[in-house]
Amino acid sequence: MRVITEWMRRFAVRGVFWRQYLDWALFNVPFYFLPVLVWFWTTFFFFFAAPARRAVFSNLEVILPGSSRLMNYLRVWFTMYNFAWTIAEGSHYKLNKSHFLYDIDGTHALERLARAKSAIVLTAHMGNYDLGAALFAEKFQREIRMVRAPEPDRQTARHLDKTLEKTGAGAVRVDYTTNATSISFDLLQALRENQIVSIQGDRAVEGSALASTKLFGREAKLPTGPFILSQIAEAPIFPLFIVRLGYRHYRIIVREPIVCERSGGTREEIVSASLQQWSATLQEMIMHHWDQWYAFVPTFSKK
Amino acid sequence: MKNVPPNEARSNYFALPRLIRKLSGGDATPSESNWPEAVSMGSVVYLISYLFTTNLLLPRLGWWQTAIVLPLLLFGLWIGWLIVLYINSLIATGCQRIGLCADLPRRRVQSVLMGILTTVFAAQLLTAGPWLRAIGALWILGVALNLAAALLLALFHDEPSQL
Repeated sequence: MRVITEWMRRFAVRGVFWRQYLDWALFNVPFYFLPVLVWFWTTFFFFFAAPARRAVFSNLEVILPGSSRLMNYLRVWFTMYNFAWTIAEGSHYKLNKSHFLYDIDGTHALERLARAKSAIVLTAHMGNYDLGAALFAEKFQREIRMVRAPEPDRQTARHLDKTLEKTGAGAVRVDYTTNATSISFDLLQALRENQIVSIQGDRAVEGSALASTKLFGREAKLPTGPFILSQIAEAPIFPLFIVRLGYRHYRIIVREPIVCERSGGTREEIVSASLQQWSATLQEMIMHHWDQWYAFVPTFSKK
Repeated sequence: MKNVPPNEARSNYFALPRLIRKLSGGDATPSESNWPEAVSMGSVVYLISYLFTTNLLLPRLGWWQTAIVLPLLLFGLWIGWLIVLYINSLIATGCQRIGLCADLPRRRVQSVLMGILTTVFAAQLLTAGPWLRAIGALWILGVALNLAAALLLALFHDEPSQL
C-alpha cells in the first residue's frame, strides 16, 4: 500500500512526474509546438492546482486592489502561464545549454556584486531565479550557495537539486531551510570563505526567524535571517531579480546594496531598518512584475 | 547592457524563411529562438488537426451536440496530441536504434513525423468545403515550398535543413 501511495505521489501537483515530463518534452517536442503545450498545461494546472491558484488570487487582491474577481482570475492564469514558461526555459537551458538574451538593469550594482569579496543576494520567487543564479555563476565565475524553501515532495526536491547543480555547472550549490540553526552556521562559513549566498527573502518559512513588515499596506512576515547574517559577516545585501521579458529573453535587475552595519543602533533596529528597505524594493518589483511573482502560498495577513 | 548570442535572436527554424533571409543578404543559420515562428507554426499545426477532427465528427452530430463537442474537442485534441507525441518519440527512438537519423536530435525527428501527420490531415481537408480546402491547400503548398527551400539551402552547402 505504501509503495502505491509513494508512486501516486509522483502525480501530485508538486510531484516529480511533471518535472520529468517537462524534461522529456524539451527533448522530444519540436520547439514550435511548445507554446501550444504550455498553453494547455497552464489551463490544466489552473484548474487542478487549486491551493496555488487561491494563493496567487489572494495575493493579487492585495497588490491590485479594486480589481474584479474575473480580472484577477485571468491574472492568476497569466501568472501560471509565465511560471510554466519560466520552468520550461530553465530546463531548456539545463538540457541544451541554449542561448538566452538578457538585459541588465543596474549594471553598476551588478559589477559591485561581482567584485564583492562576499555578498548576500536577496531575491524573490520571481521570474527565473534558478536561471539567474546559473547565468551569474557562469558570467562572473563565482560560486553561489543558494538557499531555498524545501520542496514538499522529496523526489521533486532531488530532481530540482540535480537540475540546479547541472545548470550552474557545479558553481551553484543548493541548501534548504529545513534546519535554520545549522544552515545559518553553514552560510556564515560560506560568507567567510568569500562565497556569494543567495536567499529568497519573500516567503516565511516555518522555523526561521521572521519579522512583520508592511507590504502594500498590509502586514507580511518576511525572514530576518539574511539581515542578521549580513550584520555578523559584514557582507552587503544585493537585491537581485531576474524577470522574463519574452521568449528566451530576461532582464537581470540589481539594486544598490543594503548595508547592515553594526554601528548606529541595536541589532533589532538595524535589522528592522534593513527589512523596511528590502520590503520597499520587493514591493516596487512586485508592483511592476505581479505576473511573475510565483508566491504560491498566501503572503499577506488577513485584515 | 545587452547580451545577444550570435545568430540566435533574429534567425528562423524553417527552411523557407531562412532561404528568403539568405537571398536578401541575411543570416540563414537555423535557430529555435524565433517566437513569432514558434507560435504561428504551433497554432497552425493544432488548427489543422482541429479542423480535420471537426470535419470528421460534425456531419454525424446535431447542432446541440456540436455546441458541446466543439469546445471539448479543443482540449480532447490536446490529450490526443500528447499520445501522438509519445508514440512518435517511440518511433524516433526505434529509428535511431536501427541507425536511421542517428545524428538528428529526437525533436527534429519528431518534427518530421508531425509534419507528415499534419500533411495527411491537410490532404483530407482537400475533400471538404471551400474554406477547409483552402486551408489544406495552403498547408500543402507551404510544405512543398519549405522542402524546395531546404533542398536549395542544402545545395548552397548550408546548415542541415529543417523540415
